[in-house]
Amino acid sequence: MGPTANRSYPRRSARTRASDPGFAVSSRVLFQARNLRKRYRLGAVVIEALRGIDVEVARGEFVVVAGPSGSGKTSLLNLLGCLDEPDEGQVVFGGADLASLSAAEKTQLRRRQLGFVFQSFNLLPVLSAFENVEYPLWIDGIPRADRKRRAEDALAAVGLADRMRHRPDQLSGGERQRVSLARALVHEPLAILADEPTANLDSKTAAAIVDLLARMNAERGTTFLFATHDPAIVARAPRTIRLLDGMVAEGA
Amino acid sequence: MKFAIIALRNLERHRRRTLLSLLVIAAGAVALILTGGFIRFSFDGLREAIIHGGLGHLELMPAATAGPAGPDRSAPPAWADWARVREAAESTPHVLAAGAAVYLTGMASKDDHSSAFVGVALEPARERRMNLEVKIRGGQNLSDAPPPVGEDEVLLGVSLAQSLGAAPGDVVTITAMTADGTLNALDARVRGLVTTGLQELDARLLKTHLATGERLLGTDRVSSIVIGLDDTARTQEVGDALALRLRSLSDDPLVITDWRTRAPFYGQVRALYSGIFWFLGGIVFVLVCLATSNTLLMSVLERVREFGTLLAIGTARGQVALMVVLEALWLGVMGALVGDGVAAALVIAINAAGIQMPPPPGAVAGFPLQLAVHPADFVAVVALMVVVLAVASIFPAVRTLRLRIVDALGHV
Amino acid sequence: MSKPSRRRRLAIGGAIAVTVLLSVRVRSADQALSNEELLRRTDLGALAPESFRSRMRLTAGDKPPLEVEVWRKGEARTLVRLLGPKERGKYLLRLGPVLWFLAPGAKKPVRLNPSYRLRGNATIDDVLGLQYARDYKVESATELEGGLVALDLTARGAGAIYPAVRYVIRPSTLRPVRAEYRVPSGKVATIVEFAQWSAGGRPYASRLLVRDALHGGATTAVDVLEVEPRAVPDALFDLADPSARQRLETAN
Repeated sequence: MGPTANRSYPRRSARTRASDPGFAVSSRVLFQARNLRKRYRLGAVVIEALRGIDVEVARGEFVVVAGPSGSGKTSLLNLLGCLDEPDEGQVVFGGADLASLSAAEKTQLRRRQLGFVFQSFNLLPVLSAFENVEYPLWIDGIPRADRKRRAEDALAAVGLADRMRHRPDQLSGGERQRVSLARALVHEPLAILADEPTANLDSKTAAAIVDLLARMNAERGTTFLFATHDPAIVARAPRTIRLLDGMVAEGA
Repeated sequence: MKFAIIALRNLERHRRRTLLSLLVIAAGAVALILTGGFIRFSFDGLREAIIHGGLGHLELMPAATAGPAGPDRSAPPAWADWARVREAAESTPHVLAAGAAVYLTGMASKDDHSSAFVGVALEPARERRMNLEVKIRGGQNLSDAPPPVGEDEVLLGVSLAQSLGAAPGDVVTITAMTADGTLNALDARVRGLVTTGLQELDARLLKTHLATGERLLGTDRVSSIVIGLDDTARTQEVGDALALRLRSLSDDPLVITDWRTRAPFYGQVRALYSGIFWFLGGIVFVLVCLATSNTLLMSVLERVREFGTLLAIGTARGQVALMVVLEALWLGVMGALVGDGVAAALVIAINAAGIQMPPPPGAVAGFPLQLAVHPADFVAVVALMVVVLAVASIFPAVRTLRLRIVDALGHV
Repeated sequence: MSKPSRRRRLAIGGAIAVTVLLSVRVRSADQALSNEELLRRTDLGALAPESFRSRMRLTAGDKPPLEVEVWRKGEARTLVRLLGPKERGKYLLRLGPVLWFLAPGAKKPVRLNPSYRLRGNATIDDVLGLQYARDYKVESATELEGGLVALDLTARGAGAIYPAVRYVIRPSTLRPVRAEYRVPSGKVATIVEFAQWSAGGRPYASRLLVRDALHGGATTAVDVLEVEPRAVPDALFDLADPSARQRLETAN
């Protein structure tokens, strides 16, 4: 499973919306990061989380970002996912330089083009599984009937059609993460970013989740960017980018 | 508005905390409603005491007597064709009676004692029809029928009687300047002693029958007509109706003054108490605001990661802040409604209990405590609490606006 | 308010200025009279009859004129009878310093302030006049325009009503023109102008104008309609017994 393997998965059909900020969706490269640097201040000390990273991710790729804790995985995902800004360097997503986008445009980008899966699931405890999943569609103004259909489909795709009405506190860890994945998929984003999605799961459930992610990637052509330090999962990845101390060790 | 439902569900998450906030809000609501009810009851009482204590609702007099700085009560009675006007007034709806009044100033003497007086000659029967109260402290009120010649009667203020050494049944001589500018004196029997509640007024007060006043001053003119209504709320309406009718009725242009203008004291008391009430309202506002703001802030800080998630997956900052504000508004409405319920129950209980209040200045007996609460008060309190909570939510909501997504996501 | 009784007595002792019978002959040739002599010769009060009856009309402001009948016996006793249909039976009775009001509606007399104003601003003293020569001494004499002389008088004793008087006379006719009464502060309180003189044997001032100099200059006109020197019965002044007075009513 090297970086060049598995390039022949089905691509998603090009799809543009008038409101999208000039995405060149026909471009093969989805994420392009150049010379990324990110510093954090910890009290009086300044820590360099990323020290000049160049990364490219193509559409439809399933990429695992691996490395020990403190290597900068989360920081990289945050920058690529438009959740944060680099101190130096550039991130281009779908041909658009993220730095050129306004805050509102970034919000919209995350709402429509990206999906997120978090280590702690991060579901809204007051909403049912169904409501959690339909949430991104709802805030995007999708009409009710449409929302219902798509949310149900997403839940079915992750195998939770019969648990729709349950609240997160009534679901197991694995089920919650599936709901989280369904939420990340429901609006058909171009890419899904997952930061340690299996860290809080037992190995069996973790494996099941990874299978699910791989299947989604294969069926829908959604680009997956997956941060983890679990070697079992890294072993299964078609492509791995290894980070060490804020720099790419291999696989960029 | 689904955000409203999310906000409501968020309140349910921490039942005890929400309940505590509701109690604080409800307590504030109850305090305001009950205090407002008591103050309004006091205003009502004062107003009716002023009106039925002798002022009546409206007073009619010729414009010449009215004057720019207020009526000249020492001027001789100047109104000649008052009878026609009185008839018209008494046929106006809601008018109980219209009594002629002659203002008298002069001297009262008994043996070697004499004292100046400021008084009025009026019609006792009409006074009674208007429900004007005469506080008798000895003897009786004047009789309704006009006294025949030589049988004039007066009521003296308690302190005036004291300074003259006069008791009911004694004869005093009243001397006054007639309309022609000469003097006249009449013997009159003291029929009773009255009090206004103010010692300074009692030292000068003299009341007598209209006929006696006319006899003393040698004229059948009067100073003014005092009108009593069946409902104080109609004062403005009846005043306007009279003004229209009277335009065509009298030779002298007439001026109508209502009891409020003649008792500026009432407006002053009202302003004072309203000020106190607003001050209390301010305190309630601040207390409820601080208490709930703290709770709201706590709840926001506990959900930082949640908010971070929402922002990460594409919720606008304004929408996240809106959720916080909606929670606060729910608290305000629900808390106020609980307060309304409690207040209503308390009002009913207090009004039924008949708690005795001590006598106000000038009165002999106390009166039962009653709270005068209007339905609008309950609505107003809800509106107020909504505002208070909206203000309380400002700081917590602004906090969400300032969240950095990455930090929020990493928040434990 | 109440003035010292001695002063009252002395003041009231003056005869009515308007009923004085001047026994003065005009001495055109002899101008060498002393000031005291001038005062004595022009003192209306001193030259009035001991007892008389007089009728007067007082007019002031917008009130109807007041007609009165004055009965005087000596300095100490004056009865003012109010004339007119409405005023029947009303009297002002001055006995020494005390002034009483008697009215048909009151069994007992009512004691009044001695400075009670009969009409307008004219008190009984203003109308009846002062005993100038007896009660005052001449401080100085000033010549004024038009052949007038102003005699500045100060009270001899504490009993005088006014502490100072300016008595303006015409030496050529030996008649007073006006009297200015001053209060203790020196301000002019009242000005009595002797406007007209009666014709006939014993001329008296038939019209007086009493002006209130302290409060805006309102004037009361006093017209003396007749003066009849005659004996006056004591019974008229009996406070307790009204029968003599009642006979006056029935007689007229």
